[in-house]
Amino acid sequence: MMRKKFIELDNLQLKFSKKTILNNVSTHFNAGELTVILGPNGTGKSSLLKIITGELISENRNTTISYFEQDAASWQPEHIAKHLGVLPQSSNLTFNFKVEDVVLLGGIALSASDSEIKAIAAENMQLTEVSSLVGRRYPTLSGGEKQRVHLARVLTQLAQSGDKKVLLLDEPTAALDLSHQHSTLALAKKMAKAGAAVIIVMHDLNLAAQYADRLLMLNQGSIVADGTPWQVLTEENIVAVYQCQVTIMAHPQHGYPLVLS
Amino acid sequence: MKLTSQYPSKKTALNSLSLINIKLLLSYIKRIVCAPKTTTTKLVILLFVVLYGAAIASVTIGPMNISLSQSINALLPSVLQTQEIPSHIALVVQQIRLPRTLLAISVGAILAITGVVMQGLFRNPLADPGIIGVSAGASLGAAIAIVLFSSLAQSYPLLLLFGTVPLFSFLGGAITTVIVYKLGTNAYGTSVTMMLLAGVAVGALSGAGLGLMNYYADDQALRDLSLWTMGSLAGANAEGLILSFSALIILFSLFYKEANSLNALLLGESEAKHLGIRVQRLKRRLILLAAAGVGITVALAGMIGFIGLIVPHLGRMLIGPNHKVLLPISMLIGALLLLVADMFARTLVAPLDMPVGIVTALLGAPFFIWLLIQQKGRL
Repeated sequence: MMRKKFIELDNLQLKFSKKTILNNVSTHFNAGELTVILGPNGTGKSSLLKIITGELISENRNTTISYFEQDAASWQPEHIAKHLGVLPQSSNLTFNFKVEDVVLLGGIALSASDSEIKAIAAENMQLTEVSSLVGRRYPTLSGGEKQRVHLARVLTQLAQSGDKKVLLLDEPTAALDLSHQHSTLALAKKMAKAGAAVIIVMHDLNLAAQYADRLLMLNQGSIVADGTPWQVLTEENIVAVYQCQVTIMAHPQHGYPLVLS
Repeated sequence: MKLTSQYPSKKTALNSLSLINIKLLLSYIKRIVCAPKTTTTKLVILLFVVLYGAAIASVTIGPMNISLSQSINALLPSVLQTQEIPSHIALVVQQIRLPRTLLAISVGAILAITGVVMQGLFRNPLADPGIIGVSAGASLGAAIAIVLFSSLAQSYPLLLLFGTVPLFSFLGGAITTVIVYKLGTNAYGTSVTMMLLAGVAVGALSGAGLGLMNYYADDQALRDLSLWTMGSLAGANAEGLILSFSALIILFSLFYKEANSLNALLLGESEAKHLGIRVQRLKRRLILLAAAGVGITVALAGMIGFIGLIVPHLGRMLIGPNHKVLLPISMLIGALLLLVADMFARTLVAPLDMPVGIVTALLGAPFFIWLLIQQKGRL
């Protein structure tokens, strides 16, 4: 079965002063697939996400970007917000919102009544396990709790996405404990199974191997490997990209690759 | 009019004022708290009641001893008056104290909602038109207009009031806001240090400009100018009230329309963009509107600092940072705070009239220091 290309990127080029951040990158992200973007620090992973969301503009005139098989330029901001949700790496929110009010901010993108938005937000807070935090002030939360509150906000934003849903997560597990790392990624996986294109930037190779349908490995602004976890997480690739000796073996129960360093 | 019979006019105005306010307040608080309403509605009603009480008090107190019943009667149409009011008392109440009270209410409200919007825009609770130099820029604009057009002003005072002074102070405010915003903000938000330093720099420049204008001004213009540097509500008149109340209504409705977008902006510019907000357009609009708000208050009452800083904080402490409720609550608190500050300004050194800017600075500067202490380590 051919999967629909929800995001298509062609000939991305990006420089900051003289350093090349992305060098002629072309790829696409499919419906129903969880893709993890890997790579060392400063290889353009976050820049790639920012080009997808339109915050950074590719410097190549031949660049084409499309959302759901339509030119990105033809999407109005309030329209694309219903279909494309972004979980930032960290948030600068310092104002003392209540937790539920932060989640409700996702409702700004929706066309729904206040009570409908409240119901949607409550549902998503249950999904990201933050219902117990209702009434707390956002600045008093731990980093991991904040992250899950924002995930609930992004899911609320996407409540009316129908069958066109893209979820971009920038290091969603960095601040989370083991159990919440797994519950968050399991939730992302569930959304991909339900038809969303889920794109995650992450550093943990083993978590990536466990949950990703596809891995995209970046190094110095270029894609160096693209495929299933077994295709990408090879000893040669990891030595070449991370300059680090590793052993790859299969997980004794689940069969996905384990990277031992 | 039960109040007036309960408190005979023999008592000094100040005495009756405090008694009435406390009694009135307690009874209203009781009634409001008992009724099943949301916290915000309760707070709005409570603030309205207190503001109303303060307005009555503001009309009653002052260097001339006028009783509460006299001042209330002076405000009523003659058919409803229960006692004869001497014409000089009627004049003081109607022509001096009432306009001044209403000006304090409208200017305080505009300063407060402008402060809310600036803090939202800068995503920083230290942003205030006074501190970041916007008021100084606006008053330089006003001063330029006064000095340049002072000969015109004597023949056409209305032109000055509705035309050049508000326009120039708006331009001064807008230019300084843009400069401070550009200097203080990057993709990750506002750098407090840069914002405050930019405010100092812009403020110093405006101060120099003001000095220059003082130097060039003739006697009449010099007297007009002195109002702008300190902030005073003494110049209240009917035309000014029309301007300030229409500005308040327009600004409030336009700000309120953007309440959701302002909430989204608090998350960060990228996050607001991801939520579908056209951030650049929103910022442009808010900067212009906030500058207009500051410009008009400066044109009418000079530089009154710290209302725009304190009030949004009080509002957030009471009901949180959601702009949908923060804007109306802050509007009422701002009106109340400036009204009370002006009552102090009029009575502390009576019969002299202290510029209200001094009172708000006395209240606001320690508050600002306290905020800085809170933010210490995050700067």
